[in-house]
Amino acid sequence: MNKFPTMFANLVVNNRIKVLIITFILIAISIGSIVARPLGYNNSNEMWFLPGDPNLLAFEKLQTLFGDSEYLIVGISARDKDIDVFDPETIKMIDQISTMLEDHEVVTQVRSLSKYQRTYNKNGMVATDDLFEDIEEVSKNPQLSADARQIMRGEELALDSIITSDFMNTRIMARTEYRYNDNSHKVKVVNDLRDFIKKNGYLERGYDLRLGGVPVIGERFETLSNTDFGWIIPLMSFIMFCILGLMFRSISGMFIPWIVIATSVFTFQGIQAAMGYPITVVNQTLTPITMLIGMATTVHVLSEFYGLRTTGLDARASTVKLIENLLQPVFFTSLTTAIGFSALYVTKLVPVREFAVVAVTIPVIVFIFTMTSLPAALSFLTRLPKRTEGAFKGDWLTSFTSFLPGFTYKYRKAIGVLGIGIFGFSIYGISQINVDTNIFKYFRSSLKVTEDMKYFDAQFKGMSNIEYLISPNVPFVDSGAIKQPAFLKKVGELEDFLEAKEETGKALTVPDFLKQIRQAFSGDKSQYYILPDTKEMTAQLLLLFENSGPEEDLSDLKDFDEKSLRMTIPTLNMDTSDFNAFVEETNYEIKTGFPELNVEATGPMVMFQAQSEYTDKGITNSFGISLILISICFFVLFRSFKYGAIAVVPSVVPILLAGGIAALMGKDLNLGSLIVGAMTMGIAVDDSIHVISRYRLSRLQGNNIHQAMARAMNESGRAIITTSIILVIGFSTFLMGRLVPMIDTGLFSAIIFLLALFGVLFFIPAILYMVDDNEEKLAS
Amino acid sequence: MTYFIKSFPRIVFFFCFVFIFSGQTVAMTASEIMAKVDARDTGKSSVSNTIMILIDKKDRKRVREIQLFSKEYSDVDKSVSFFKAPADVRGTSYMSFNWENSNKEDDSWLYLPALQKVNRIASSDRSGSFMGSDFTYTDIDGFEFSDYTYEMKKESDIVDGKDCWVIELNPRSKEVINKTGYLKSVQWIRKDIYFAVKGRILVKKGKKVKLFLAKDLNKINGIWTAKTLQMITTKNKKIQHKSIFQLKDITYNIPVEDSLFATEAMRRGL
Repeated sequence: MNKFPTMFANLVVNNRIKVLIITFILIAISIGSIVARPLGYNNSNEMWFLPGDPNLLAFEKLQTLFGDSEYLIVGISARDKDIDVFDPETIKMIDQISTMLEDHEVVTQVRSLSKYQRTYNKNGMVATDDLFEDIEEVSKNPQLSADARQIMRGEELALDSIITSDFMNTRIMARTEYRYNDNSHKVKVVNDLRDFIKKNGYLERGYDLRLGGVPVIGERFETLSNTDFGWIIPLMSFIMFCILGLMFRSISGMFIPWIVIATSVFTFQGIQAAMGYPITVVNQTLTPITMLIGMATTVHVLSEFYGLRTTGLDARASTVKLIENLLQPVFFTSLTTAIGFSALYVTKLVPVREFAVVAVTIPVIVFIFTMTSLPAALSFLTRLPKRTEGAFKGDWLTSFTSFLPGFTYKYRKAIGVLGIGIFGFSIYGISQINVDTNIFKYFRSSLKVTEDMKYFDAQFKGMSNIEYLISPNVPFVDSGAIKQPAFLKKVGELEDFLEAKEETGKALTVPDFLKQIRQAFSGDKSQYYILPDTKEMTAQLLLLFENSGPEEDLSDLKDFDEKSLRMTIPTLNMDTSDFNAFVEETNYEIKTGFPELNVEATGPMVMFQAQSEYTDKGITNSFGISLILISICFFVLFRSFKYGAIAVVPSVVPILLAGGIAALMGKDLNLGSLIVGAMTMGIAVDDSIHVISRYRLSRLQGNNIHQAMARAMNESGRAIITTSIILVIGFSTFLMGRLVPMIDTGLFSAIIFLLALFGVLFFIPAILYMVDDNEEKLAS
Repeated sequence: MTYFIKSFPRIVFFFCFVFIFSGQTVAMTASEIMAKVDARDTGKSSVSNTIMILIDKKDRKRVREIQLFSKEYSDVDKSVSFFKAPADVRGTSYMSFNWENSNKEDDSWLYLPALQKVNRIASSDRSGSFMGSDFTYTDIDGFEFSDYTYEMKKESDIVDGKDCWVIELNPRSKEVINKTGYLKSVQWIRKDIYFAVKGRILVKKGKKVKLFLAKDLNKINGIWTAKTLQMITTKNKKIQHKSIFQLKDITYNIPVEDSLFATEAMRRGL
């Protein structure tokens, strides 16, 4: 084993040109893979679930039975100067937007005030007529608006669904085509709508249009991700340049690390593209994470290289020596980082698994390039700049790392007590953690999309729905089971029951339509606003409705075989815990109160609930597995339970502490923070490895604990502090993003790496002093 | 003129455009060709049985069976149809009077046996779906020859091995577009029998395209008849819905009682 690093080092240095050529070839192949299969975005609800998951099966059933289930919603409020939304200019605008959406390639159906049709009895004839026969006439004839108002007052199907009861708000609902695992069509339709709104100057005319629905969430996620990373990554790169410049005081020191970073980024993206994994809210941070891991690792290599150069070795000899010194620790740091990522595979969430698969390759890639391409490039740096030499021989970092061993020895007991206190606090804090993966909380509260969600909550009781698939709870082999009056009556009762809840809005169902048709067929007499008496009557009323020429085809409310009905219940946006309680209570009430019905709940809200549950379990399981595997790794590396435990504890406590602080501050964990625990543990332990490796090596070479600690701090302290600064500042740039999971990844990671730095610089030395000093004293 | 089919009652026995053989197939304008297609003998009366198949984009089918009676009077075409299947709509009947005077609105009635009640149905919107199918009332009832301009797009194109003219129909006014719901259409007219065997229609709303096909052409009682009519609604080149009318049998020019075209007959049923 001891010979291998030397042999490997010589192999790299003797073939340094070949190594660099192979590096460039790999970059070219990776770029080719990315170009051949560009990375697309996905944030669909179903992408989270593994094949066969009951939540996915229910969602697929919804798609199969009722077709496209996603809606793009445009909310319109009456302007201050208008009485209500029946203002002719508003009606014209609604019609223009409705027509634009109806003509759009991904829209399959539009419901709006301008397209509203009512089925009624017209002078003895059953008719389905447009609310506005000719939109152009509305502005010429004010009576048409007045008539429309009068009509809508009695339209049960439209009130609080298309238009609020006070007529001050209305919405356009465009049913959009469902495409499995695709986001591009959502981006297209929302951007086209925005362009249309802008082109027609609606905002300038005083309209505050609100956009909502799954397509808007999808578009915002992709657009904001792209724009945020469009400047966060350059900013992060700039900061890294500055830190490298301050640390190494040389142009080569600032640029050479980018060989590893660029190569690693292209390679992992190439692997992701080759595997066909889309960009998701979970893996969107992989590029900056790769940059940070790459940078953190290369800083150790560069520190070692320049340190060796200052001892008088030439570039080639320094390169050979640095590989000999760092091959094992960098291998283990990469291994632990990879283990941290791999632990995330235990979750049931597909994007997290995909994240784990790709992320696990990153430390491996970084390790390979750091130990091959980077040394190969460094071996060409024959000139050692004076400024670099000066920095390594004595600057504030050198002074600080020299000061640390004495300080930690002096206050070792106080530090130990503080550590125990922090540990206790952390354990209490994490017991209070709450998980909330609600997609509607993905955006900063100051963003328009968040404001719009609040608008839909306030005016239409939300824009997120619970979808109930309802069929008779008896085996029906024939088509048309939903036509049974007893079944329809129960569905009607269920609708009333669900609509009566504080958290829900108004549903639109087949029983609603049937009541209206029967009333129209019976001379519009209000006593006939009732459900059909027989199965035959249901079938015939539906035939009558079809034959009265409506645009509404009920295809999203009853399945084609007429065996199931769909009830879409708008639901207020709630915290996951509140929503869980609501769903559990409602499901129980449905089960006990409506045993005649077979009711299955699905839709975005239900799927978020399942995601939260899986995320909750995923955080615990991945963190636990990561802890166990990394601990085993340490025991193997140090061949000692004692040193393994000492290395692990200061890396774990910051994670618990960060989680505990977040919980006590009332901050919920989400999909972004799910990856943080396992990921940061894998990275944070790297510093422990570097310190304890050198300490152990020094002790094995016969030095006492003070000499060993001084050497460990002097040789690795500079790199540890620099990498931690890079990681903390690097992840802090995420805070400037607009997507909450990304912000939380940055926030938690930055806090954890900062705390971990304190752990490595203060707690590890203090614990080592306490443990080894006692042993030494006992031995003597 | 008939767009594809003239009047719902005739949908079964006048699935066709009647062949008027002139022996002259050269140097005709598009308008002259369409005039010949329009000037057809639809028979004085007919009795027929048809199956209507509605197919969704997942290829699931729903089937209805209808018996139709039709009779031509000097000022009106009368028809009545009785649903025979499925069982829950059996006995439901639909009656329609299409007046020759275009200023007079057509009359329609629907009888629902479950409610034992005949009700008039408004027939003002001809662009609405006919019985939930992809055919609209415009397709069923037809519209005025003079509402359109005609342009020859291609002198020769082969459909099912038969030579066809390809003619584009453009509405003369916005009113026609609003009435029919169609922006324009292209029809393939068989040269040998002046029969529209294929069509492509641009729908006004939703940028939808409808594709029409007439198949299984037979000469029945001297009248060319398509035994299968198909209409597919597409958007963005994807099928949204499909409807097929299959003619099981038809007899032209047989005696049909006048009393059949009354609401009492609808109540009485077959």
